[in-house]
Amino acid sequence: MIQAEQIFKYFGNEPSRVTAVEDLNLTVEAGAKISIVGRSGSGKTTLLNLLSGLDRPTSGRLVIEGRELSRLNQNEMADYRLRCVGVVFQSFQLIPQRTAAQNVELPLIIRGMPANKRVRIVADALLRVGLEHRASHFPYALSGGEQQRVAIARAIVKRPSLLLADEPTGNLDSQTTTEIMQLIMQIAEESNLTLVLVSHDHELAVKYSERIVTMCDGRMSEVIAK
Amino acid sequence: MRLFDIAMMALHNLRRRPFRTALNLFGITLGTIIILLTAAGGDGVKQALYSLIENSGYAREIQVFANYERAAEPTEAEWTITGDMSDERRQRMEQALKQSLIDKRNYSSDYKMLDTEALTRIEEFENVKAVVPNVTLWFRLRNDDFSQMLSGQAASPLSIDLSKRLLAGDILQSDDAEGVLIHELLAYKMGYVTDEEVKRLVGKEITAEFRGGGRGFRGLAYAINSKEDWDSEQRFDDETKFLGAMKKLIGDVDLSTLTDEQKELIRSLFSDSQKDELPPEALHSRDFKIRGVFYGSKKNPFDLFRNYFGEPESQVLFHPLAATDFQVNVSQHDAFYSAAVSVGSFHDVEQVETKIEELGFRTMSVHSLFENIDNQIARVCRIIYFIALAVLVITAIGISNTLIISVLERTPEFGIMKSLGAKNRHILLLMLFEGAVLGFIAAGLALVFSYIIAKLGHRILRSYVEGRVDETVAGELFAFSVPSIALAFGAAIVICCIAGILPAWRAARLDPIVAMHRN
Ligand SMILES: Nc1ncnc2c1ncn2[C@@H]1O[C@H](COP(=O)(O)OP(=O)(O)OP(=O)(O)O)[C@@H](O)[C@H]1O
Ligand SMILES: [Mg+2]
Repeated sequence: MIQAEQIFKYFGNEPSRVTAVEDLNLTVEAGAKISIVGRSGSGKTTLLNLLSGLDRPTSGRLVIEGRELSRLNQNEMADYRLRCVGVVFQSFQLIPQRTAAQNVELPLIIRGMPANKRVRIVADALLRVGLEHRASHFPYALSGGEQQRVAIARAIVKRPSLLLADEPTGNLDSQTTTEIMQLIMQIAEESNLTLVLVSHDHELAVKYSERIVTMCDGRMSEVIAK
Repeated sequence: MRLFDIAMMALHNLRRRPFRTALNLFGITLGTIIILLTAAGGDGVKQALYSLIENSGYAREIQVFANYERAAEPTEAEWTITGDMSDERRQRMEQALKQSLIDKRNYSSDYKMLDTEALTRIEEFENVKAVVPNVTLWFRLRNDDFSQMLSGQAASPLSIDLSKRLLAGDILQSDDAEGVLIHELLAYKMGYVTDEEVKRLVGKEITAEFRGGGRGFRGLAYAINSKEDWDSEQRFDDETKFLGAMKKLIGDVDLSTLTDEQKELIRSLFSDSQKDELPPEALHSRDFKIRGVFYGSKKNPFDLFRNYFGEPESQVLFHPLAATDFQVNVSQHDAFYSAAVSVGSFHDVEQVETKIEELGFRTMSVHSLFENIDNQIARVCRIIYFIALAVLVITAIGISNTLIISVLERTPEFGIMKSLGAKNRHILLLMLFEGAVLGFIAAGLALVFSYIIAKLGHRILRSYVEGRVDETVAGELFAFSVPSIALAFGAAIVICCIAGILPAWRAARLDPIVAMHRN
């Protein structure tokens, strides 16, 4: 469950201050699947970074899974990222020197899980994204769609309750986009994840989510529920 | 994150850049090797040196030297400067005057020589085994068909070093004033060539001829003696004849046209000789028995000791009693400038030395030189440690540089790790571990290489030393102690960690969003 009240996010100081998110109020029930759409520069990524605990709002109250993010210190914030959210990025963000399996394993290593337990969980996650046969391949050897599958596996391997995706298909062709979106929806459905999908593609948003939030110049202008 | 996983990741990252890692390892290993070998070598060489010295005869020997009697300090009245002048000038002149008075008194004060009485007292000290005055005798050795000018010295009957260098026979027994030892070269010159012949030489009689004469006449003989062909028998004969002539001339001084004053001066200068029981031109001869044939010692690297404790290198070695007897007979002088005192064991040296010093003589022993050796080794070690430290620091800067480059290269990776929930301290530890792993591997490599180098070095040094002294080197020249290994490991790891601090801190504080987008 996400509760955002009067969230403001500014970058920089006057006179060159940029308002990326302005007076945002949003509630997302646990297990809901929503999309955030809007033109480039409207503040979608900024909002997602706030939700994923990578950034902090300039002001406002942000409560996710019972944690008030604005009050967490750096370590607690890291812990939140580690346990509660899985993020999928447009540019995959895989570590090129680690194999698919090693990339998926990373959150478990950070969590401090012993090596013998990790193996099975990683294999499981790869199986869920249909990449069990590419486990030992490095990212350069994988196609864009496959890389994004690895990223999805990495996001869900720690069993988060919240899945955030920032234009997950922005770098993929339409055929692959469909496959990836279906995979995300399937996983979100199976694990009953709260899903927040950022996309500038209105059609895609309409197709895959129950609720659409439109952003314009940092302001949330309308909420369409299906 | 588990420390084990952090270590594995660090290792993995080091493997990702093998060339840079190898270069860093080389530097840190080199520095650590120097530290290890210095610590090990410093200890080992010192121990080996000690055992070498303790085992050699030198360690049980004290050299005693004549000493001048300290003159009384000049009184204030003697050095006070009066008159109208600045205080600074007065002090300066008083200082100079005082010093000149002290120097003059010391110079003219009597020398306390080692006379028979002093030698006897030293001999009676507890633990003293022998007292041998240092005398060099100048004589003609005669045999049935052999004759040569030679120099001879007294040898301690107890000389261990000498006993190791015998070709035939035995060293002199303490009561054997009749016996002499001769050098193998002299044996050869005498016509005894093969080992069998040399053995037959033991027990043979030889005759030594000395020339007597008081100090005045001897001085005259030295004065006309040129250095070249000093061992010519012709010269010996000429000098003897010359001294006879001089003796006669001085006896007949009244017949000359010299003034009374001149006659008186000549009589007083040569007065010693006139009291001589034996005339200066007279030759006294004495028979000796050859007890053994020896050969010279190898060249000794401890030239410092050799100067003070050098073994006699003369071709004939006499018993000290015979040598002193001759010295007294020849020079009418029973006091010596120096003597060698042998004691029972190395541990008695200090106590005997103190007693001798209380008699008013100067002493010198290996014991007093030990401290000197300690200081020398410690100083050399300090310099080497400093060099090792410099190598390590320079390498540390290199490592720091490498790690900073590595942080820059891996910024996106750290961003991703942080976005996945890695804490600042995880990233910090990861980088510090890279440094520490580097240090640990380097220390391990250094230990292995040092051990190999030490083994080789030990062999080379050992054969070098043993080729030069008649002792065997006991123990390892490089002694690796647990503290020295711990020190080397500690130094390598600590320095690598310090090198990692700045890069690690930079990496830890990266903003994940910014870092990720460096892709
Ligand atoms: N770190 C920053 N410093 C300054 N301005 C920033 C920063 N990050 C974002 N902005 C600004 O905030 C506004 C919102 O940016 P944001 O990246 O959220 O847009 P977006 O909706 O994700 O756009 P796109 O669809 O192109 O990804 C933009 O005007 C952007 O220039
Ligand atoms: Mg964006």
